[in-house]
Amino acid sequence: MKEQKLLQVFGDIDDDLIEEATHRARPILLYRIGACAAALLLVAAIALLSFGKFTPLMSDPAVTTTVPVHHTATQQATTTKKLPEIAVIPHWEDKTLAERFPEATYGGNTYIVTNHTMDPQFVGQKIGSVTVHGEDVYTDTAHTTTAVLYAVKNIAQHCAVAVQYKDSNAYYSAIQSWYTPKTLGQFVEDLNLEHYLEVGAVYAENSHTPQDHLLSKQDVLRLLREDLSLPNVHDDRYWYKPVFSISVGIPVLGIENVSMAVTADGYLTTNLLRTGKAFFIGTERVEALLQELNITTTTRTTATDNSTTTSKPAVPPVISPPYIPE
Amino acid sequence: MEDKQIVALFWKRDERALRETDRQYRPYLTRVAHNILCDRQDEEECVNDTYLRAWNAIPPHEPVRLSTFLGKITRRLALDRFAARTAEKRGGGTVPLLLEEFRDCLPEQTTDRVTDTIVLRDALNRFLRGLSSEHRRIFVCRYWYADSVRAIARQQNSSESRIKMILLRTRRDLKHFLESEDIGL
Repeated sequence: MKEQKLLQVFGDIDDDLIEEATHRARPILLYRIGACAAALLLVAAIALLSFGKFTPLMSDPAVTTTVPVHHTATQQATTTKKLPEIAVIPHWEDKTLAERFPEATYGGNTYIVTNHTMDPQFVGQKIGSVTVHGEDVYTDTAHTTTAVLYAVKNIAQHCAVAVQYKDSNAYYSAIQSWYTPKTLGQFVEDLNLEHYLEVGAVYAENSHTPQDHLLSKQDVLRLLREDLSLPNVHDDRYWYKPVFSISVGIPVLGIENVSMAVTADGYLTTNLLRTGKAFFIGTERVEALLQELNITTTTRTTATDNSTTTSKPAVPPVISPPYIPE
Repeated sequence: MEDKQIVALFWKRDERALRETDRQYRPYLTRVAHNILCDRQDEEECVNDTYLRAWNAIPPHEPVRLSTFLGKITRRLALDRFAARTAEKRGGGTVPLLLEEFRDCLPEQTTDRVTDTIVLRDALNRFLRGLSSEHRRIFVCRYWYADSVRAIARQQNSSESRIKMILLRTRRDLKHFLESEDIGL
């Protein structure tokens, strides 16, 4: 068939075109949301100033600063106003190396480089060198440089690496933000949570007061280790409503105050390393946890109680979706 | 280990080449095979066959980009395996969908001549290079990697409907391009 021939021959297109397709679009969070937030802050600041709320602040030359305010990068519009400093998209020369070259692709993995610089004692073996690309959105100029990728000691390479840019001594932590473990065991092992996990306060539903020391690191690890074979069943379409969440982090990678939560319908969820992960630990286990921690909840449901689950699927997505390596 | 070093190991007939290739490229190659086959066993066999083909091909080949060199082998093997599976009436995978979409690209036959595959490949390269970077990435993700529309939308920070629209328009453009180049299939 003709379309089969076309599909076959399409496989032989030039290598650079195939490689280019693996590059991701610019992350929304860094640019679009940043630009929106900057615009909102600008509007709020102007509104407050027009009502004279900031008069004492503005009259103090020690805290007054003159900043060019860029409404959006593409408009190139600059307005010089006397304002308290607000969020703006930084100019190329003001950016860190990680902000200039925010992505590094190696071995089929795309890493998002963070501003966190790592202690060299956690930097492992050299993995390889890559060419990284950046864009000055004000002048619409493309930049390239090289960087060396290093493993992070005892953390899987497909989760995170350390990036050292040319002519720099700093090691920036870089996250493979599409990392999707297949099981809870793989998740614990890949990130070496036994060693690197940090546990903070517990936030119970209906309570705005964080409770420190309610769960220790060993308590959380014990919960994670109970059944390491649990598959990751996270589904973007499903609403995982927590009954309590724990602030967790991996300081070595610069990850702090990320949620690890337990839901009324039996899931342990987290967005450590940015993508959602969900493991079905069962409603009975959740009930037991709530009792152990003396947490009360108004939306608690059990497998047999569907009265509050009308907006959710009747059957929780406990069956693992197809394995999609990324 | 860098590609050059791995290729050098292949040339020395050093079996570490296979270990290093597996370590660095298995996820990438599995993705290529998975999108076409959607069957874990078939995917694994396909990736393992890729290593064997690479072992037999290097030398004499000396690929500059090992990832795409291997990826092309995997894609070809996966499509062959899919064809065999279809013959066994096992079906599945995304290939039928891709073939159906590719029907939009078929040029109205203005010539009885069947274009050589190399000429067709060169024409496809020219067409792709004429697209914007974003549209090119989307088109290649869909028809080379066989990525789902949802996965592409996520990768490109865009909506699924916008991706579908871009794909539809690009397929129509490809059809007109092939006609203008007098390509016969």
